[in-house]
Amino acid sequence: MLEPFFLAGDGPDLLLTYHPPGGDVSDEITLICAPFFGEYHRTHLALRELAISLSAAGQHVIRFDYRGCGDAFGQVHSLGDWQADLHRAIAEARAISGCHVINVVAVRAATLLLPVHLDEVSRVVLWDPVWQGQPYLTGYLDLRDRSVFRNRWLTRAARASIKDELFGFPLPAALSRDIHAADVREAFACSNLPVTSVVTRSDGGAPPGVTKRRVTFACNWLTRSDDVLLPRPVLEELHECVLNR
Amino acid sequence: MRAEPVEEILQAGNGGRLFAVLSTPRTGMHSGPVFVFFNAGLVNRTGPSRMSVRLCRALAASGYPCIRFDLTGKGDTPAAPGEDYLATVKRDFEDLRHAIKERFGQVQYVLGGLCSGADNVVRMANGYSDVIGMLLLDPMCYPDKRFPWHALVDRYVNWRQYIGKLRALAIPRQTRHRPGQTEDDNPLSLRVLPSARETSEAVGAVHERGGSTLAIFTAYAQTYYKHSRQFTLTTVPHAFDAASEELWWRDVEHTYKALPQLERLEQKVVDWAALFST
Repeated sequence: MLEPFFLAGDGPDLLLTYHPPGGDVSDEITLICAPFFGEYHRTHLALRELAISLSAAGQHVIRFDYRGCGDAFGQVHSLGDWQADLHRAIAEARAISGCHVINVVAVRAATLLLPVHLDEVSRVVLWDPVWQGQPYLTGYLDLRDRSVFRNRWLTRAARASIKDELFGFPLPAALSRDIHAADVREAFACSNLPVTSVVTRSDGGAPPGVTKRRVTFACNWLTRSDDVLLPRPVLEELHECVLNR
Repeated sequence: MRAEPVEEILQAGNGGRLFAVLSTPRTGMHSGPVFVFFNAGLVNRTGPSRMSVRLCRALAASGYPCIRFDLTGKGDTPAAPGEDYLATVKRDFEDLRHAIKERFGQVQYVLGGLCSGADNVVRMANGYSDVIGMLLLDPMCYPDKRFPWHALVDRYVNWRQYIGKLRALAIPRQTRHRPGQTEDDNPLSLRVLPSARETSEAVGAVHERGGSTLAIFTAYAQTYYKHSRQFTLTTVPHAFDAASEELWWRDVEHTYKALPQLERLEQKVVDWAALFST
């Protein structure tokens, strides 16, 4: 059972999907923040599964698409745009559920959006978090450049036209600059929030105070493939972490 | 600049299980058929690089109602364990048609899909007489008489492959593509392909209904598609003398992973859709 709707208001219309609680209804709502670009498509099914399992356990759950992602309208210009979308989603989560306890599950680079919202949430659970934007973005840009270079059919003009984007997703200069400069380790280190990180690979950059849970699963994030991820062990761990078990 | 269309969620089928997004022109005026986009592989209704979102919004801005939806087990439509895949596709399309009929009355359809989506389009076009258009992105194409010759030329005479190999040498060894690394090495292994006869019948049926087929092949198809009239010659050639069209975009990747490629597709589809305006 899910209740999808377009959230109108201050900014472009965003698609929100509300999963009402089943069973023993909790007074908590979990907001799921999807990753960006192609990772959004790869994790969509997994995050839906997570939402269903959490709602079955009594949680209110909301998934949402940032502007320019999924079914949402609008175009992103900077990281601030996506932070504004997250702010709207948090407000709507409160309104729709009546809950004051808000948990956030953030996947990969969605972690970079959280520092400005840490005072609005009660618990943070991360899946393979990106603490610094620079290596994340550089990895993807290298991958893009290699694939453009390798395509023997592209003309010189076509090669030159593939810029300010990442595999078909717009990457405006300001957004690129913001992601490149983002480093959220200090914000998390200074926070008193309970933060749990579910990691499938070594995560040496995690700030102090973050509880790490290691799960064996090859997510192979840095890829241009559209292979859909459905990592059951990761989802089970995320589920447990949100329910604070 | 086109006005953004209006979108709404459509939940069709038993208990609203089927998740679809309907795009309509902002003016509220619409004409012609309803465009329906099928999932590509396991990717949700938005399509790889949001291809389906872009196409739906561009077509809706041109006056056509468009729907992108999730088949059973994909995106936000729940799975039905144990059920036959082809049977669920047919049931999903039936449920969607029912919802569309409630909304718009009796209409005609243009179906679109990439990869496995194109396979489903072919099957549904054969099954329903109100389908008057097919947008086939990397559909299956069977060999024709010229295929061996073109394959030979492609293997030994095509100079671009040597440039490609030289370029590959410039890429660090550990990041080079190795055979067997991706599904691209056997692109058809994951698809439930329609037969040559089914494909031919679908093109013929759409043609006889006064409709049109647009088939676009990309670099992905190079293992089974060798010249730019192969689809025409292996289906219904006279359909392509009329309104249908076959294109080979060799420089484009299967999932259109570059904005100029997506924009080119969008423009081509919007131009082609003008055939259906009433």
